[in-house]
Amino acid sequence: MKEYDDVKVIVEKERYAKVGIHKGMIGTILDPRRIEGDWLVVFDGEFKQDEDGTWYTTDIECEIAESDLIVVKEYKEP
Amino acid sequence: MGVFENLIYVNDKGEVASHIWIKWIHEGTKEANTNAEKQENVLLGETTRHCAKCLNLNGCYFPLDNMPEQPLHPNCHCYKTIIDKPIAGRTAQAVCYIQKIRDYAFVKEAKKKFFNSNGYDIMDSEYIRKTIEDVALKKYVGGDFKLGMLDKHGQRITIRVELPGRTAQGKPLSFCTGWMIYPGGKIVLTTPATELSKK
Ligand SMILES: [Zn+2]
Repeated sequence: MKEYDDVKVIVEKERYAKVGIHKGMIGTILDPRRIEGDWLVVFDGEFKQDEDGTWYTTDIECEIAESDLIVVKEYKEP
Repeated sequence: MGVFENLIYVNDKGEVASHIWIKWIHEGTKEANTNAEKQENVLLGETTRHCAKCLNLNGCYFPLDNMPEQPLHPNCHCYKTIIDKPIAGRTAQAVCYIQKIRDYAFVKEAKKKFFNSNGYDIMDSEYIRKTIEDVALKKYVGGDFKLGMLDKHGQRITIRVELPGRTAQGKPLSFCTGWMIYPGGKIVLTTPATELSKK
């Protein structure tokens, strides 16, 4: 498991559910470090625009234990 | 850059940001300048009574009016020292790796659609990367960012960046980018499109 790999959450846990992450969701590792067994995973959301016209996303960023993830698409540098 | 440009920064809303900057100090431990060192800090936190979050904040620069709460937790013995306002390219730097644009933003469906529909495609990856770096660095040293999540991985900030408009309306394309703060005035892009703020 490494940065830019697409990973799937394989368990339902309260600490993930609290931020909207549930079993079966797929995200991308966006930090090279596994810290205390956790990867920083970002789950894609939608684009929205604020009142100033700035775009933002509803992406969810969450630290997830490696043991709770499987790689669904391994990243290979082109 | 003019002499005064570095002293006073006014954001898009006309607000003047603080020009007093501080360095977060966690005495007795070294600053984590690399990912490996940040990881070492987490391990150190596990084996000692040090807080891994504080260890990762050690040496990071913030404007006085836009910094994590101090003390961060009960018995936090961190403190801050006033520093010279960071200067872009000299005492502050922003890093956006090409992979975040070329292999992430232009691969994920929603993000790809967002950039494509605003006149940018994968061939523009390097241009986008460089522009994001330049704009974000200027805003970071201007204190024009929102504090986001602080966890084991570090302190995140959200910076609004603009790319030149490429649609018929010609308005600049403004969007939120997510960064991780490192010691010594360095910020590294985590994600090229993020929430307004992640508390
Ligand atoms: Zn502390």
